[in-house]
Amino acid sequence: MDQLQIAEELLPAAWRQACEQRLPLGTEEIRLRCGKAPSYLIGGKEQSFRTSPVEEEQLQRILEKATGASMHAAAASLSQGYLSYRGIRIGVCGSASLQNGAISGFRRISSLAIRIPRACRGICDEAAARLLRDGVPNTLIIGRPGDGKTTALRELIRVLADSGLRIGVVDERNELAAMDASGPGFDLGRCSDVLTGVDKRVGMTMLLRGMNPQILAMDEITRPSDAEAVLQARGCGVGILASAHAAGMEELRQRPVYRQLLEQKVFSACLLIRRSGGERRYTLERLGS
Amino acid sequence: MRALGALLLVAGGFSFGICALREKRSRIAALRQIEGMLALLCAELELHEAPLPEAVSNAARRADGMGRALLYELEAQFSRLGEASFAQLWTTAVSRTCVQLLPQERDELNRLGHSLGRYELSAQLLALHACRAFLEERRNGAEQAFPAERRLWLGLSAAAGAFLAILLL
Repeated sequence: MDQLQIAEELLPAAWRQACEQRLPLGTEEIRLRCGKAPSYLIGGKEQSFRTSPVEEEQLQRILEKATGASMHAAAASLSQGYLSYRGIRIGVCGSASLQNGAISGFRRISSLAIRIPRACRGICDEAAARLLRDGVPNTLIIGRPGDGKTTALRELIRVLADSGLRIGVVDERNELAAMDASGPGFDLGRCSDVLTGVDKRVGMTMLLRGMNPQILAMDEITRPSDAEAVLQARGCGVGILASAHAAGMEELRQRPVYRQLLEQKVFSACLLIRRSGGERRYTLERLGS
Repeated sequence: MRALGALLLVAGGFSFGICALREKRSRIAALRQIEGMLALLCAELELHEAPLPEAVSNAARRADGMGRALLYELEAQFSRLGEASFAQLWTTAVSRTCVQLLPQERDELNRLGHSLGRYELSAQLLALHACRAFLEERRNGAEQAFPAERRLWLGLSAAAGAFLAILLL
């Protein structure tokens, strides 16, 4: 079952029947907003389903299915605004409820964004070959939201792990491997070890201690604790592959979380993703030493 | 022959009373089994913070009688999650398995289905404790009333049998 089918399964049967056919291949997201017609994102543009507006109860039902009727078990990720369901990330918006100052859940749900991950084989072959030639320097994948950073990271991991490098993957949101009861949903290569559902800082320590990796890979460094973890891992003799939200290096330098990483020259290469229309270009650049 | 017939009528009435009492006793046992099941579910959620399907599966293996039947039925229904809400699945499982409970007791169990899995853990545990306390109170009431009810039902049923015998003979 591909990720698009998994995403479709989350939708109410009435909508699926209304569509009369499957969502088009290449669908990147399904957007559901209370009181508005559901829509899907393809090639950067949103197109609406021809069906009745979304009701809050339907959004609740989708979340119930995604969490296996266990909102409490998803509380940690929900407090950060998303849920993971078999490798699919579901962004959640609504009225948050607080407990001891921290978000404990959502009283009301107003929107959901179901992001559909894809495996795109071959997109990073050239970059991977150059990285291998250069001894796999610490590399940061940079792109804007929706540009395909996770897809690129997944593909880089696969190619490098297939080349024989031992890669420890901290897959905090289970988006890289899309692990479920039947195993990983995406191939991350021959020599990769995947740790899912663990905070990056803890996960990196666990992998370093237990799995003897040559490279540590993680998606989206967003919190100060993620940056700290990268700084810690740097001194441990392993390479680092990570991704970051930004349009380019200039924008990245303005973000406090990255300032220290860039000042300390933790990364020596970056893979920039540029998107024009439906096309994506991947450019590997050396960062000044 | 007449004496034998009279005796059979009295015995018939008496056995009717015994059947009614057996039903009351099995309701008490069912309430106890449901309470036990709720305690197991509570422990699974409180100690392991397990997702509901896992908590239900683990508790089902250790629960007894009606409690076990309810959880197994619920487990079988989980594949319909999404098409039906968890509360609907729970209500279906309750109506299919908890036939020995009184309507108020089933209603209380059905209400629990609206809280389980939907809210934060503390709210779910509160709902579980409240439901368990309600059922415990109902069971205690039924247990306390049982000796008096036994005397009443046996007396009434034997008397009804005797009355029928007198009437017919």
